[in-house]
Amino acid sequence: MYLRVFHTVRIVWEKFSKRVVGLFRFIMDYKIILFSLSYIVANSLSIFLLRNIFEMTSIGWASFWIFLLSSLCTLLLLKILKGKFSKGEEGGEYKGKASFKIFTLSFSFVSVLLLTLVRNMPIILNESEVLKNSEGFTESSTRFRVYIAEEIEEKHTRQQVVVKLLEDIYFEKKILDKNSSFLLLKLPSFYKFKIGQVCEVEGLLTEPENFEEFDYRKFLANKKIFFLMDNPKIFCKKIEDERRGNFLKNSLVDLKIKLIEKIDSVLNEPQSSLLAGILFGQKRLFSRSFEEAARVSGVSHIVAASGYNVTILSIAINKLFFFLPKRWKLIASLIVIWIFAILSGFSASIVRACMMGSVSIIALFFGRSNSVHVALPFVAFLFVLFNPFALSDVGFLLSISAVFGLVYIMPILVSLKEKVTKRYAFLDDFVLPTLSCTLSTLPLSVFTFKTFSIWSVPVNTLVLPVVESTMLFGFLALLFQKIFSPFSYIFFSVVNVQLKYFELVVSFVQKLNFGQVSLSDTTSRIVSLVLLFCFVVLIIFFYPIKNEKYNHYLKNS
Amino acid sequence: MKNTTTILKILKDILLKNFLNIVFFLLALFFVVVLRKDRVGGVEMVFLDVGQGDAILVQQDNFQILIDGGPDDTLLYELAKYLPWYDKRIEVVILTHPHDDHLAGLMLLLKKYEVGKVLYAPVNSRNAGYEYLQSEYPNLLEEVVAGDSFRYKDIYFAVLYPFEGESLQGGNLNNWSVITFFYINGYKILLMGDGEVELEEELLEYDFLRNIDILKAGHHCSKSSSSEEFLSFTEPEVAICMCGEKNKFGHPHSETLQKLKSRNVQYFVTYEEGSMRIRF
Repeated sequence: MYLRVFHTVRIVWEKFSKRVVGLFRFIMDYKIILFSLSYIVANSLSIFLLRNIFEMTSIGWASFWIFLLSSLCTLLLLKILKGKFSKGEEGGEYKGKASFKIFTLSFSFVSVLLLTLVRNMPIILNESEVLKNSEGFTESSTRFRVYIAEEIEEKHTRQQVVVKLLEDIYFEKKILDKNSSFLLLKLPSFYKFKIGQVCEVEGLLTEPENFEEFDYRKFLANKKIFFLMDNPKIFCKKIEDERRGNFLKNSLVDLKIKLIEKIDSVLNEPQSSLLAGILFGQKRLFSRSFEEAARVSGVSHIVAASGYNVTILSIAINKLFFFLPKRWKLIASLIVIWIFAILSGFSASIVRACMMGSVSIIALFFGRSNSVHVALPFVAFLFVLFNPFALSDVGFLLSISAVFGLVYIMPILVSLKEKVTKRYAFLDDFVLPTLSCTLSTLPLSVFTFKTFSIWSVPVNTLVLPVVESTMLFGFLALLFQKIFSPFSYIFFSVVNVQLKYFELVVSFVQKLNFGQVSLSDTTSRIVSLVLLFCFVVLIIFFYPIKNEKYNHYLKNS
Repeated sequence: MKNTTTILKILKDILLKNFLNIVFFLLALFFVVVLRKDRVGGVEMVFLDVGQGDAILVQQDNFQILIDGGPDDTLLYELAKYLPWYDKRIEVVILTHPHDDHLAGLMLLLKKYEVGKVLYAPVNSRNAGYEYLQSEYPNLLEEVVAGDSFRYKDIYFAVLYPFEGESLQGGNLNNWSVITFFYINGYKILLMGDGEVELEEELLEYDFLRNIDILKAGHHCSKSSSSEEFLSFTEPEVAICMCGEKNKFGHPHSETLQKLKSRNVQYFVTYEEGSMRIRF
């Protein structure tokens, strides 16, 4: 009996270790994966290092030089050692090869780290420069001109407006450069603003303060915001008279806002906000009780407009055009999701999700082709390169993990299902994609939303297929509003019923009042890490590989 | 024959793949066509639980009157529960007076809903929202004085205060509240806004205010409103106190509640009951 258990464990372990080694070989073989992954890791590391250094001023500089010197020394040492080992006689061929690999690995990592240091240096330098002078800026009331740089974010008590300076602000001896930062204005919600509007602002700058358990300063600093202004006096010009900012962005956002107003003119809360979120990735406000209900039932990612919906959309389009040949379906989905990106006013979350979605579409159609494994980390790398703080953005992580689920978890679920039964093809279409997305985003949602709920998977499975068709009907409703409004009325009524169903499910789960645990900061971290670890292990173990025996990377390992 | 089977197969495929879409489509048709979920049948009055503030909805068919808007965005979510789903137009809005616990929600309503007109009694106030209302929505605003009245089907209401030609004496904006009297299917309802004792005294000359059915008690049932004299004059059946839970003002005041109790007036507090819907 024990022997048998021991035997199975050994077989399992052997398979697992073989696969891990195979995975490493695969990554080593595709330098681009290796580079992308190490860049992403090095990027976070370098931001951490740079921030610590600049905050410590003089001692910091010393440690920075020490760090730089030591890394150079390591590089040199590695170079020398590498030469020595390749000449070494005792090591034998294999050992020489292995150590050579380790050298190249660490060598390339250190060089990538240096690369990220160079990339992030100016950003962090600017940050520290502004913060150094911050005391001077926050002493007296000032008056200056700005334009509204981002879409307005509504909160329950106030609205938050991110503005960019149109002129340098002069304080007694110091100057706040107009390009150094954005400002965050907190204003009563009744003001109506438009993106690009030019305003004159008068008030007192303050530095953001951290909440309990939340590093608000860092959160804002990642968005290049170092100062707030609470309830300033504000006088805005009409956009017809003067408008700043990117013309394309302004007009796209205008278009989106117009469409959302169309939704608002028909549907009530929370249906209107849900539809705006689902269709355009618009972040909107919900009543506190609904927000809580969404959190409990694990659908915050839909409400928080993570861009997760684009992944859903790509699946839906695939289903809708099932009669088309594969190639056409691929093109149709790509076109549709990019139209959505345009309609969303190229909002960061949607564009991100569209890039990811494009990858996932390719994944869905080509199945297990290697291109996905390369494209996924590469796209992530591009994002991090473009915005070094991308990794601290939950939406970005959510959309990555959703795609990750489609690429790595779904094939496992499909093959498991096929082992059990070959029937019920609809499972493949309706349940499995959403299930795999839900599973793959679970560690992250536990981490960020700090609840672990057993409802997350069932509720998402119940709700997401409906969300797909809501997208379709919502789109049709908007389309027909101008052309033939009775149709639009019918489509809106469908959307309304669907979202009522959504609301019903979510609030029903909230009323059940069991099955969900609010976690403290540390426990949520631990739980999400454990979940992540389990998922990674399970994926490595169960991921279906064709012709496993003859796989190039699994041979001889 | 072969063709028919292929067509049938394709149809079956379409049905299966769009199963959910079809189900919801039929459900929606059922709700709208059969249950007429897009309109309100009789007249109803809803005292909305918007926290520490007032918001009262009166509606029939697709016609809505909203009195005040509460202190924040809660109004939008509460309102949505009672409006017909396709109706985003509030025909008449009444602002009793420009204090934030009556005005702030209304300002958000103006952003999200289509509003027919806003009835108000102009007054000097430095409230930022009020100033924005006057500068940004001048064509919606309509001044009212005592004597103005309005009718839609079974809903009839009249403005009882402020009087024409008068202006606010002293600085207390509460006593410049627009007081409305609703007469719906034989029921008398008096909405006191934030009116306090001084204002109540002015109303004692209206004889039709004797024996009313529902009193929205003034100023969130504070100590300074609903005097003995006023209560014995109006003799309400039911009184409603609109207050938020654990508000810093201590509303409703125990003295006022005691007065109501001693007169056998049944009273309801919004934070205890939630939103209250009365059908006439």
